[in-house]
Amino acid sequence: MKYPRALDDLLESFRKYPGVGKKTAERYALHTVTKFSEEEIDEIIGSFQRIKTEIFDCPICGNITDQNPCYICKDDSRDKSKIIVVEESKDIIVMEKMNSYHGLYHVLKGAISPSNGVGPEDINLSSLMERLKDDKIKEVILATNLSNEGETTALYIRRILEGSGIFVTRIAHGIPAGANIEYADEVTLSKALEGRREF
Amino acid sequence: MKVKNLNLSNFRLYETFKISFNDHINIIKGNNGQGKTTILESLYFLGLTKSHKTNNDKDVIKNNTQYAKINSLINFNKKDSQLSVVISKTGKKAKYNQIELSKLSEYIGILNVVMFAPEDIELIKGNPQLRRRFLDLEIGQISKKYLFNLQNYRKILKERNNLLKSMQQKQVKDFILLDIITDQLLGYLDDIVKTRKDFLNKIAKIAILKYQEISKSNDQLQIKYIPSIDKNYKTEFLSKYQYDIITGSTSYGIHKDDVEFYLNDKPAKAHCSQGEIRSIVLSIKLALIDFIKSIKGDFPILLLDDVLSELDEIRQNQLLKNININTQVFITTTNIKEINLAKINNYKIFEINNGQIKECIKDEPNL
Ligand SMILES: [Zn+2]
Repeated sequence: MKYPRALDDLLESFRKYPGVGKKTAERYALHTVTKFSEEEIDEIIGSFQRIKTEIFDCPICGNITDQNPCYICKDDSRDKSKIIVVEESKDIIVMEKMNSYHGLYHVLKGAISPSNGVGPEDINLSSLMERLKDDKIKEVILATNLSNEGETTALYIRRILEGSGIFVTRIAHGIPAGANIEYADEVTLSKALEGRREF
Repeated sequence: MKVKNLNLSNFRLYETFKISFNDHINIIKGNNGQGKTTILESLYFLGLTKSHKTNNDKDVIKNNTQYAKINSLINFNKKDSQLSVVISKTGKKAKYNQIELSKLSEYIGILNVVMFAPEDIELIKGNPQLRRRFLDLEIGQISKKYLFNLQNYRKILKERNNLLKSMQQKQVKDFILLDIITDQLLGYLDDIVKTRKDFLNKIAKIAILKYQEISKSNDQLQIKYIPSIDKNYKTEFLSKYQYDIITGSTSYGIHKDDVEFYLNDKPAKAHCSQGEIRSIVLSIKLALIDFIKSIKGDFPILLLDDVLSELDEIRQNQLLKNININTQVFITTTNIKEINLAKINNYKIFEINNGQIKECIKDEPNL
């Protein structure tokens, strides 16, 4: 069966979401058409439009926000001597859930990967350098992903901060908390050993 | 390790195929083109998630079908386990006791496989790529760390080559990034070179003895690892930065390694007869069996694809003598008479005809 044009367009829009395949997109689209009231559809359209007009990147840290600057950059009670550098805004949400870090953040909006056409100039790096001119900042904590791209990015930032007097650290990787050593695979274990600390 | 049974669906010519194997020797006889090799290919795929015949996995999917499936009950460490591999047009997935493993590297090596096929003489005579493939497949089936390093090396090599190409067009070149990606590459390279060296040393030590047994001689077989680079990595790489940018590719690295074989100090490629080359390859395969046994505590399965009949009687007997009674073996042949059955006990013979298989009764006079 062929769907009406508008339904087909909606289906294609849903397919743009990560993890949504053809079948799921079809279900969402049909659900929208058959189960939602006109008010509900207006509500959804309204939320999408508000995202376009109200949400933007914080000019200081790059985090998504609806106020300038974002609630973290604005918060005077935060420790302004530390910056955690992450790849995406969603990483901040995870970090904030820890409830144990009270410093600042910086969102790179990507990671360096020449094979994906992303160089150092294509991520939000120059604004980080600009922020680091502030003497108050003593430590940069590199929390990019532990993938090859994340590692390239972290190493790159470390290199350009050499001699700046800023203390550069990298999040550790290894055995998950509460895990038993005997169940860790050999690769994880050797990474954990590499990153061992004085005790 | 024992493969107790094998179920294929849509694997090459087989729409469905079922067979239960003997614990020791399995002889599969049949004319050419009847699907003998395909059975060995599927066993190889079951263990290593690759074909020995093709680099394109999709080739094994039966025409006009969506996916091929290999399902098997194996016995390892006195325990039965279910293995399955599904090959579709978009990729392949492996299951261990019905649980899908997120990474193939977690699966490879559960069932260890050593194969000896006619085309294996190319290991000596063919291009270096085949020898690197040999290293990666064989080390990969015993070391997850090696697979991990290899996978990352390939990813970073791709990043590096892309960076080099993009640097060609830039007025101001970012040497910091090149330096960092080079360091990342070297981190994996060092480990891979050491592992390859160590592996070949160990194999060489066993293979020299195997060769003397098979050939009943005192001939000296030597296996030499020729790494494209094995010291002063950073200095060597640095000296090629400009050259690498011009060519847009990486001059040194494990993707340029090679292995050389010598018999009595003479290069095997140029000086050895066909028979000698076959014996060298056979010695290496037998050495692999012992080596895998020493690491995994059990023998890999051995696949002999149409090679027994190509060996003379002495070599054939030496090979059969070398096979431990606890090793499961799969032999294909067009002519059963060329196999010295008197030297084997505990075997089953299967006959294959146009994709149909049946077990032969041993007393049949026309065997
Ligand atoms: Zn902010």
